[in-house]
Parts: sequence; C-alpha cells; structure tokens
Amino acid sequence: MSTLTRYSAIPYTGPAPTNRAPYVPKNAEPANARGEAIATTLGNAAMTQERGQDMPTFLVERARIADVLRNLAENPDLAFILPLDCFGTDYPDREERFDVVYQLYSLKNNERIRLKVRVGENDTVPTSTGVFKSFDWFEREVFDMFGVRFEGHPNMRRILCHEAFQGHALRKDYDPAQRWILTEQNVARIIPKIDPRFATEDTDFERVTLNLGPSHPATHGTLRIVVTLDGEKIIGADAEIGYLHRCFEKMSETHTYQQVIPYTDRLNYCSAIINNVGYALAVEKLLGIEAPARAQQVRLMLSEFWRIADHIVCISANLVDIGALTNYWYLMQPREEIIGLTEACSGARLLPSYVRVGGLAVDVPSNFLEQAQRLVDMLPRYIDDVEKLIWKNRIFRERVQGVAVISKEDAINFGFTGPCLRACGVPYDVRKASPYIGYETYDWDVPIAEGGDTYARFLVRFEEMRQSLRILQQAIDRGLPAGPVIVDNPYVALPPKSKVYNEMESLIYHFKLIMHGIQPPVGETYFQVEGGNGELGFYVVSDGTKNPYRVRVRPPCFPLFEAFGQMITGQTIPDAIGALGSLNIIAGELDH
Amino acid sequence: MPIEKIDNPNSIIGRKLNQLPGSGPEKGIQTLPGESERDIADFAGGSYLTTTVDTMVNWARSNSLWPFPFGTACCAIEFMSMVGSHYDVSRFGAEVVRFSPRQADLLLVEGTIVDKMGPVLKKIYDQMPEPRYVIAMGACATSGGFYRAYHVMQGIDEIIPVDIWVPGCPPTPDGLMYGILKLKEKIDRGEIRRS
Amino acid sequence: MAITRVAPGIVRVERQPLTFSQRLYIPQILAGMMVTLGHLLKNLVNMKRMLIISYPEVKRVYSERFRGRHILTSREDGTTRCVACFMCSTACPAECITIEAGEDERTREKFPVRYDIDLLRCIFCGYCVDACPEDAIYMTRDYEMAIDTRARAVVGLRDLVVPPNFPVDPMGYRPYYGKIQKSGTAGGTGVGQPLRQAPFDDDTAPNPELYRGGNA
Repeated sequence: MSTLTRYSAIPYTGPAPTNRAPYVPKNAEPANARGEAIATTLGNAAMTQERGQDMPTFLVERARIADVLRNLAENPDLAFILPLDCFGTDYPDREERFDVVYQLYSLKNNERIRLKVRVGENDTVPTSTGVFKSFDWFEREVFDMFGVRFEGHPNMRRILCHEAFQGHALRKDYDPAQRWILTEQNVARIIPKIDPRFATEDTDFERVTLNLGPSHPATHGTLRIVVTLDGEKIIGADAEIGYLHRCFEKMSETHTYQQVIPYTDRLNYCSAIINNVGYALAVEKLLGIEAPARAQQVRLMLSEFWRIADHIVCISANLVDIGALTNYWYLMQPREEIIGLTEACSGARLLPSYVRVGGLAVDVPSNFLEQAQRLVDMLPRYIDDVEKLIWKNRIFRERVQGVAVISKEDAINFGFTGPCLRACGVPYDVRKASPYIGYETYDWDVPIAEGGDTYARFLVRFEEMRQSLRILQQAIDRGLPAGPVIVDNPYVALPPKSKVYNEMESLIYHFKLIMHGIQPPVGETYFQVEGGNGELGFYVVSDGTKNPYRVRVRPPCFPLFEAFGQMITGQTIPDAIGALGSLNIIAGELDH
Repeated sequence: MPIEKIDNPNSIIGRKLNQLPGSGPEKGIQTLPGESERDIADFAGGSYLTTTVDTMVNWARSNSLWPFPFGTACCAIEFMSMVGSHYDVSRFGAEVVRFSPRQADLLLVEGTIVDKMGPVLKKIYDQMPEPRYVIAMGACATSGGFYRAYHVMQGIDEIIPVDIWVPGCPPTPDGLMYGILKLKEKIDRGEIRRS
Repeated sequence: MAITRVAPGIVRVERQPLTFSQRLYIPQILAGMMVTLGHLLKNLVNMKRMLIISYPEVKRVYSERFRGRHILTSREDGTTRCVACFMCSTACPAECITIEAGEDERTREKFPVRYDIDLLRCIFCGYCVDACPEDAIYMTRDYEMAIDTRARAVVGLRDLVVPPNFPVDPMGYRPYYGKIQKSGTAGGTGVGQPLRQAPFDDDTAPNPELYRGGNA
C-alpha cells in the first residue's frame, strides 16, 4: 500500500464551520438569568439587557452611564467595585457608530458585568471618573483611539499617541500605517497638579518641577514621570505614557487570528507565554473548541515557569534600583534556565510564539519533564540565596517598609489586580476565582500580605514563586497526558506535515487555512487569565472573517501605573524609584 | 552537532571570504548574508592610511566601549541577559553600562522606537561625545519589524546614523555580542572615523 | 517568611519586625557577605562549572528547534525545493518575504526567480516554516547575523539556497513530524526523488498522534 493511499481518509468528521454564523457562548443561559436578576435588583430603567453574551451584558443610556456604574458599585448585594476595563469599539455602518464598553468585577460574588454605551460621532459621554478613579486613563485612551469625548473629565487629552498625531487611530477608517512625525517643538510640557494636601503647606524650599524619563535608568526604559518637588518631598506627580505604543490593537485588526500570536508575545515580554495562552484561550472560547489535555498542561507548566521568571525580573530589577546588585546576578541564572527550557520547546528564547489557537505549535521535547524537574529542584536554591541576602537586612527593610502605601479601597478603586492587589490583602487571583486550563485541580494557595507597601509586594511575589513551584511539582508528578498537542480540526489547526506532503485533502486544508485563516463565528467574547501583573484579559470581536474585528487587551499594568502618581505623592524620589520597580510596570503591556 | 562557523585566525569573528555558501569543503553557512558580494579590499581597510597611532587609538576605543542602553522593549530584557552572569560581556570591556549619554560612546538602541520617542532618542544621540557608535538591536529598532503601524518608527536610521544592525526578534545575547564584536572589528580596522 | 493560613486556599505572608540583633545591622551584613563568599569559593574551587559562556570561544548550543536564519533546501538534482507557492509570504506576519515566480520549461514546475527575506523585518516566529507545504524553508541555528549595511540585510536566493546534501539533522526549526531520515528527502514532488517512498522514519503507521503528540 502506498503512502498516498494509506492516508486517504481524513480524521476530522465534525461539521465544517459555516461562515458568519452567530456565536453562542456556552454559558449564555446562566448569564442571561443572572443578568435578569441583576436588572431586578437594581431596577434601573436605563439598562436594557443584551442576551446571549458570555457574561451579563447591558446596553445603557448614554446620559445615565455614570449613575448606573455608581449603582452597581454601591449596591451591597452586587458590589461591582473592581473596575476592569473601559474601551471602545467602532462600527462605522451604525448610526451611533461607537460602543464604549465598561467591564466591572464583583469581588463579593465573583462575577463580571459588561455595560455598553452607544455613542455617535458628535456625542459626549458623562465621565465616570467620579465613580472609579481607574477610568481616568481608560477614558483618555478611548478619546485618543476613537475620539469619543467624555464630559466632565478632568484631563481630556491624548494618552498613547503623541501630541502631533492627527485623527483617531482605532477608527475603522484610519489607515493603519498613517504616521505623523513628532518634532521637538511639538512636545507638550507637562506640569503636574499639586496635591491639595500640600498645596497650602509653606516650607522654606522652592518648588521645582523635575522630569524623570522616559530615558532614565530607574524608569526601565519608557516610563515618564514629571514630579513637583518641595525640597525632597514629591508634592505632585504626573505620569506620561505612550512611549512604547506599538499599536497592538490596530495591528491585530490587520492580521489573521494566528498571526496575532507573535504580537501578543510582545505585550508583556517578561512572561510572553502567558499572553499567548490568554489570547489563544479567548479565541478558542469564541470558536467553541478546547485544546487537548496535553497542550493544556504544557501551557499551564510554561505559564507557571514564566510567572516565576516575571517575578524574577521584577524582584531583581527592583533590588538593583534600591542598590542591591548582587541579587541580580543570582536571579538571572535560574531565569536563563527557564529561557533555555522554553527555547528547547519553541525555538525562541524570550518571545516563543509557542501557543497556537487550538493547542501548541509542536510537541514538547521528550525530556521536557526531566528538564522541568531539574529546574524545579534548582530554583528554590537561588530564591533562598536572595532571601538570605535581603529579608533580615535593615537597609533593605527601611527602604521598602511603609513606602508607597496604597490602601485596600484605593487599590480596588484604581482597578488593581495581581500581586499588587494581593499585597493590599485582597485575595483575588484569576486562577482561583475562575480557573482555566485546570488550575482548579492543583493544590496551591493564593498568597496575600497586609500593608500595601513595597515590602508587602515583595512578600507576595516571593511567596507566589514558591506557590508556582508547588503547582509545577504537582504537574510534573502527574506527568503529561498522552495524545496530540493540537486539536484535530483542519479549520483551526494546520494538518500534520506528513499528511500535507502526501495527501491532497490535507494539502488543500493547509492552503485554505493559511490563505483564509481561522474564521470564528460572529460575536464577541472576553477571556481572562492571571498574568504576571494581574488580570490579563482579551476581548475579541469577530465578524466572521479571517481578521479579528477588534482585539482589546486588558493590560494589568495600566491601572497600576495610573495610581503611581498618587502613591508617591508625599514620598521622596528614591522611594518613588523603589516603588516603581515593585509595581513591575512592563511598558509593552502598559502602552500596548 | 552545532553548525560551526569558519573563523579567520586573524580576527575573532572574521569569515572566510570569496566563497559562495556551500562551495567550500565545509558544508556550513560560511558567509554573512550578502557578504559574498563584498570586495575583499573593503575588509582590509583599503583606502585608509593607517598609522601606528591610529591603530593604537582604534585599539583603545574598540576595547573600552561604554554602552548607553537605550532599552525600550523586549530587546532590553535580552540585553539584561547579556550583561547578566551567563553571558559575560565585560570580557570585551563593554560592561560599563552608563545611563548618561555624556559618559557613553556606544548607543545600543534596544526595542521599538515609536514616534513619540523619536525626539528623545535624537536628543540623547546629540548629547553623546564623539566618537560615538550606534548599534540597532532587533527587528523594531532596525526596521520597525512587523509593526508597520501608525505610531512606530520604521527603523532608527530615520533620525540617527547606525553602524551595526543586529537582526532578530529579539536577538539572542550571543547574537548581540556578535554585533558588538563586529563593531569592535570595524573600529579596529579604522572604518568608523567620526572624530 | 512566616505564613498563616487565613482561609482555604489563601495564605497570608506575615510582616516580620526586625529583632534586636537584626537591627544591629552589622551581623546581617556579615551573614549576607557569607552568602556571596560561599558563591565565590564555590566558583574558585570549581572553575570549570562556572556558569559563564565565554562567547565567541565557547558557543552555547541551542536546541535543535532554534529559530535562526533561514535556508532554502534543494532537491537531489540541485534545484530549489521551493515552488513559489507564496504560502510563506502569506503566513508571515511581518511581510518580510518577497517572491517572484518563474516556470521551468522542462518540468512545467514553478520555481522562485527571486526570493528575498528582509532579515531586519523578520521576527523569527517560524510561521513560514509551518506554512511551507514543500519542506523547502528551514530555520537554522545561526544567530550571528549582525551586519553593517541595511541593504545587505535583504538576503536573496544566493544566500539562502543550500546544496542538496546539506546536513539538516541538527539544523534548527523545521517542519516537525518526528525523525527525518538523514539520507532521504522529505516529500514534495521533487524531480529525481524516488516516488512513494515513505519519507520519514516514523511514517509507518497511520497514527496522526505520532506527529503532533506522543513521544515524538
């Protein structure tokens, strides 16, 4: 029997995806029911429920949105107090062409809600910065990207694009490659607002405005903070971002679903694989498929390894900032080993692009588990070394204790997630709250700490590394499940090469998939994973074609850096530098 | 078995010249991309009248490159790996990382330069004392990479001259080190004379 | 670090105040010095196991999946395996591949007249290798690509095509389907290639899991 005849039948027997079919989420029914319950609890006439979504979704009257948000946050039964995201979507064919979408999370009930406001080109939306401080920057971003104005916003100017930029980039009629050149004359001066606590304070010092960054050793590249100093004390701070705005969202709209994966790599480049996983899971949710068990476990293991690597970068860079260089040398070595393992799996060191929609690009090497075990055995040694060096050192303690404190209420109001929220004593972790890829089957704990200062953030990060090691040890003990690493669906995953070379049908599938891409059903979905810095969410809108209609990333760094100005007011510059490192702001994700 | 490259005994990184890929007895890749088209006279330092003093100066310069890491994105993380303990760049005298452009003579541009960052980069380059060298690291800094986008500069040579281009996304630490060695060689040969 | 369990699945890391001896500052500095001294001695005693890679004398051996510079493989008669089907340039997110197709008069087969990769644009994601239906484009483990002219970063057929017996086994990222037979060619419609011969060692059983999973 020849090779050609042997593989004549293709294994996939499921239905072919019908293009432009509507997307029906798996949890549409409970979400509808829950939405009705929320509507009755609130009794707000301005809300109309939108059915068939993956979470309770409401269409809200434009003028009433701030009230609705306040009601949702203040209602004791619902308590949607954590603002997650606020972003826009453009539908140019519609009369009111923009959607402004708000997403909130309830820590009490562990549920999410999505609110949508329809806005025409000349309309304004009342600002909700009075309800959630977090939405200050998010609304500025919507203005920057779509030109939607927010009435009553304290500082309605561009945030990501530069001052000479014309037009609004994420509108569908904006050419993705249309650049505007910024010259030095156009750079705007930033004068920070002086905090009212210190505005009337009369000291002997002159007030100085000082610019830190974007090219400053302590700001790690691309962050810029302008501070007003009264002697040594910071009495006003304003952060400027956008120095690494690489247009992730616009680029996603011009590429196919698989091609977006390398772009997601470059969001949080310290833990690239978690971004891959988050995006792939979001698209898989939209497609209604699930990757094979083997792929899921490899995703989980690499995510945990990279969470450790992310924390390593944060801790070591932070310690360098406050003057402890040795830890950097000690911590870079285990990170190098993690990189080595990733490279053995995927072929690239830092930005692996290893995950595909539907599974993984290739199977892991045969000695993957031994290598992982070696790493898990080795990592605690390095962490111990660093702990010995810093924990009981009085200099370190005095540099970090009581520095850049943020209260629990403020942190929630600013939309903190991840280690920085847990350092304020809120045990919110996406891996526990809404487990994905099998985190619920592992025995591990969410570490929290009290205080909300730099020290607490150190404590949480160190303990999180140990908890990740616990998860990894269990995963290794279980062993990898046998089976394929990518779904057996030629409309999603490329057929195996041996069949492509030998079989006509597989070759056609191969060509079709590359030419036409994955075409998910029409709809929208949101999926969240726990990134290195907090909740990393991907909101994907599909119009049935090969390119995503809209990909929105919920960057965990964005609210963290937004709160930074408030956190450092009243502190000194060296403390601000130490605090900045402990927040672990990754510019690629911040500016997306 | 790793693919070994053919090293010229006279230089650390010299390649066999005047040979097409695969045409020699070795079946490895012997030339750099495009290098086969280059004249051998270019490599020998050709038209420069190299005096002993010049050689000394070049030698001193090439062995004391003080980099200014203009790190913005992913490549900066790989640069961190390169100055980290695993790859030891201090063997070439290039470990004195200076964050003041006044104290540096090698500008390492790591990561995407967006239009908003353009004036900053230009200003930093202008502040550097002569002689100054620029290495563009990674796809974004060299050409914009796959960000053909409304806010991304399509290569830093739009605003500043570049001496060495290092492809990769991001380049491996050894790939970047190769770039630094290549620059060293270039300075040693006296090809870059901007002072 | 002291850890208290506050609820199932939640632990609190306690803030520990410094004890008197820790507040004295000197003993803890010495304790920290001991750690660094231990590392120093360990390295001095065992210089060979030091974790430094002295590039370029010693080169790190990357895995066989390393995604470095590309090559185009050849058939046994020396022609390029590429058939200019434009799959790679379509799959490339960076659009760094430019192909112009020509037709071979003898065999009526397409082949690339021009095949340029802009190495500076390339992000080394490996999508071109995944997309190739002809086993033509591989990625090598070559990471030493630094150049001094932007124009030279565009590599053409002359730099990319390798001879037929080029050793591909320790190569780099390539279409992944189990072990390749060293002497054989891997499929395609190549001239001079024995037809219908199983191109792969593992290609004896029709088990799709072998290629995308299992113990490949």
